[in-house]
Amino acid sequence: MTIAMLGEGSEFVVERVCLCRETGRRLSDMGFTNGARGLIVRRGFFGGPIQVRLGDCDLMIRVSEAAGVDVIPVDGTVMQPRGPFGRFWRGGRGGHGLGQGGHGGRGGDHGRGAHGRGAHGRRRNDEA
Amino acid sequence: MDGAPTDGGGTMKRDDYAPASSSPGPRAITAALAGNPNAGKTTIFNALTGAHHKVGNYPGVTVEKREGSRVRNGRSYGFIDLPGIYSLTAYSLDEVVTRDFLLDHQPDVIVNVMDSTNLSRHLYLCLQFQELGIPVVGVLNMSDEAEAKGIRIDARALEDVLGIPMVKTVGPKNDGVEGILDAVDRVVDSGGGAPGKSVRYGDEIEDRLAPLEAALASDAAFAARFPSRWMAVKLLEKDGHAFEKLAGHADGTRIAALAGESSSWIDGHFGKDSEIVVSEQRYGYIRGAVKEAVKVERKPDFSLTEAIDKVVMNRFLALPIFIGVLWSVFQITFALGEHPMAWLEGMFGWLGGAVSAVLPEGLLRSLLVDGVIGGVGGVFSFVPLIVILFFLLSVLEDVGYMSRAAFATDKILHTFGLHGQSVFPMMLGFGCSVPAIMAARTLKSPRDRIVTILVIPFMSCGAKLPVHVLFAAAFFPRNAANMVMLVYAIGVVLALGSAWLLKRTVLRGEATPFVMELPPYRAPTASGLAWHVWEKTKHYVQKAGTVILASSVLIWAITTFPAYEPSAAELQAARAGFLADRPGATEEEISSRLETVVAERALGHSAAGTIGKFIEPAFRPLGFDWKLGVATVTGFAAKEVVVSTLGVLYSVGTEESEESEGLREALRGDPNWTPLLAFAMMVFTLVIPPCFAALATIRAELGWKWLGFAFAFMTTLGWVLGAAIFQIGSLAGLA
Repeated sequence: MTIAMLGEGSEFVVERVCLCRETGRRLSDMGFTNGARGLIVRRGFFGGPIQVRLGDCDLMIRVSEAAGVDVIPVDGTVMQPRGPFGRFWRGGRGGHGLGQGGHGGRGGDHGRGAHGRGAHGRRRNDEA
Repeated sequence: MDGAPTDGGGTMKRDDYAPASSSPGPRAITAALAGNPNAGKTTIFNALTGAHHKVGNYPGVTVEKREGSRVRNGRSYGFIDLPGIYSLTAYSLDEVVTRDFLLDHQPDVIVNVMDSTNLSRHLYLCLQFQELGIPVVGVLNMSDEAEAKGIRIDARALEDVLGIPMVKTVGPKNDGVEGILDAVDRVVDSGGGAPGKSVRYGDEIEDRLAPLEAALASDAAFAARFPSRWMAVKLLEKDGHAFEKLAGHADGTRIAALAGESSSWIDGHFGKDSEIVVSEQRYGYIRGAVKEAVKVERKPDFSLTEAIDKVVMNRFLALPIFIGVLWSVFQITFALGEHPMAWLEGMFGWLGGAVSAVLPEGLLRSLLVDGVIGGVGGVFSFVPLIVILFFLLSVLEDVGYMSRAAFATDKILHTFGLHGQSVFPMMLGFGCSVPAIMAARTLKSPRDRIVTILVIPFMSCGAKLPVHVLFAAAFFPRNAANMVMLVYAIGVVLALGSAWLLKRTVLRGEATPFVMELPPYRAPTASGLAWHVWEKTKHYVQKAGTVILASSVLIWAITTFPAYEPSAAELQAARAGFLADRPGATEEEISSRLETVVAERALGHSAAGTIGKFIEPAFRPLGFDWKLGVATVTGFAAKEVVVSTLGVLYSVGTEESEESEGLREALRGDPNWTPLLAFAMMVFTLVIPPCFAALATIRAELGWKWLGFAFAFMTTLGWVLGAAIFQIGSLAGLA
């Protein structure tokens, strides 16, 4: 599972950055390191950049870069974005069959403000 | 903002920065101010130094270097503001400049400005500074914002854990700024010394670092220049620059081999790149420290930034809002700038008149009035516009909107090989290429910056507008506005297309990562804005002013010499010819006509006329005659000069503008001119190299090589497009 596959409002824990050289290094310098928790705040129009919140810091990354960050979804249903523009959202690594994201790991962090959206945010389920 | 080194091109010596050491009292201190972008470094720098600073460049590169000084309690402090960076890798120019500066000049102390609301990421850089072995003072800036967010930082605890003195500040209010100097004093007076603590990377990595450190320390001269711990970490990170430096070590080859083995072992052991492993371990260490010293009590439910971003970064609204912001910037700039611009024009007009009244008619008067005052006045009258434009853009930048604009436009621009951050420089290009090219400095990747600068001239600047309006109104009277819009659109398409082409040919390479911070919206500070506007305006005036002065004099010279003196017989013939056309003409009309005829012949006779006639064969495929050749040459002074040159050449007077019906009539009356030729000329003017001032700015930013490339590329493209339009149009029977 990569960041590119997650929809708005999804939370994740970074597993590893699979990009090499400058891009991989930049991402890890900015905090995409093993164990870091994050949230997809929003995704740009027509596959534009993704706004990711890592700790207290908001960052923008391109879908192609997001597709190189392996993550473990934390909470709720990880979804394939749907709707009229959904097909433009897919990351570089496909984006199929994403219904199985982990339901476990409902950590205590969720009551805490910035991440609090996770509990009752705008998450859309993949059940549709 | 010179591209050339401002330190006389020589290597900077530490003494260049050190305050006068001969003064009595405590030892003078040199402090480097460093930190991440958006940490409020500029505000702290201004608070520390007051108005005492100067701006230059680091030798050989266009990275701004600001220096300031301060005297307190008899001690003098010299501050060097280093570029905002996230890490000390060797990937970006800013990072290389920072680390080279710190290694080469070994300041007494590094003052690391950090954003308290986002401490982990800022400590990441702080700990890298610590590894350099230079004493560090940590500035926990924006501590009020952190408090408001419920982030309680125990500065003392953090100091104990990391071994780095910490000072809390609120930059815009000057709170805690004196505390920075106190901490600097303490660190320096205690002998600076090597900090006792540094990051621990875990046993596996420490076991690899130890032999490397020992081997590096074996060459004392090398170790004095490059701290062994830092160097060992860099080697494990496979840092190319660090390996290059090993050439200066007595045992360099063996160390390189050992470093290679060690990093390969780490790659294999951890199953990921050693660079990333080191970075993860460093973050792990920081997480531990933050756990000890930082308590998050509560987080507010409402965030203004988030509320604004819901609209500004909305998937469907982001782009329209960006276009609206841009449109407003231009509207406000021109609405507010109109009057001061008219006053300045009036002032230069008055000055020209005054000089004319004082000096006798002749070459000197012509040089001063037409060459110097006319040319330089033209540029200076743009200053109000530049001030307002830079002010508004600085507000957008300081508020935090620029990164939102990059978010909105990156997808489109990236498709063509550009970067989201290219958008503002390119849009500025619609106003004037000079500040636009300078604004491309915000792009950190050299390739992105080069490609952006090379395509900026295709964004039709304000000075090209009169040319487009003249031809559109003369030959497409019913569709004039549409034709002008079409030319602008062609410019945008050419900019994007050229970027696409350049990124696939001469500027090919790995895509630059688009990892941008999205800072919260913040109110800009008056001192920061004043500083931005002053610096940028000063550079515009210096750069454009000097080049324009030189080019104005040059253009004046080639249009004046060799001098033309009409003979009495020629004048008589011209008078007779005019009277035959207009039998009832008054004496005033006759003399005005004669003046115009003389101007036309003088221009034909001049060096510019000769050049125009010489290059005419090259212009023939475009359907151009020598008059357009002359106008093209004079257009290098400033593009709007094309119109006044054609005014002279078509004998309609020396004071022609795009609005005057006389020149339009004259062009329509010339059998050579067709709507097709006019369109070819509009596109040609759009595409060929920009004015001298813009070319000089390209040289300053990118050097002669890229200037040569840009000139050749634009000339070729302009010629090919002009010829294609004319030839294909002629074949299609449009002529």
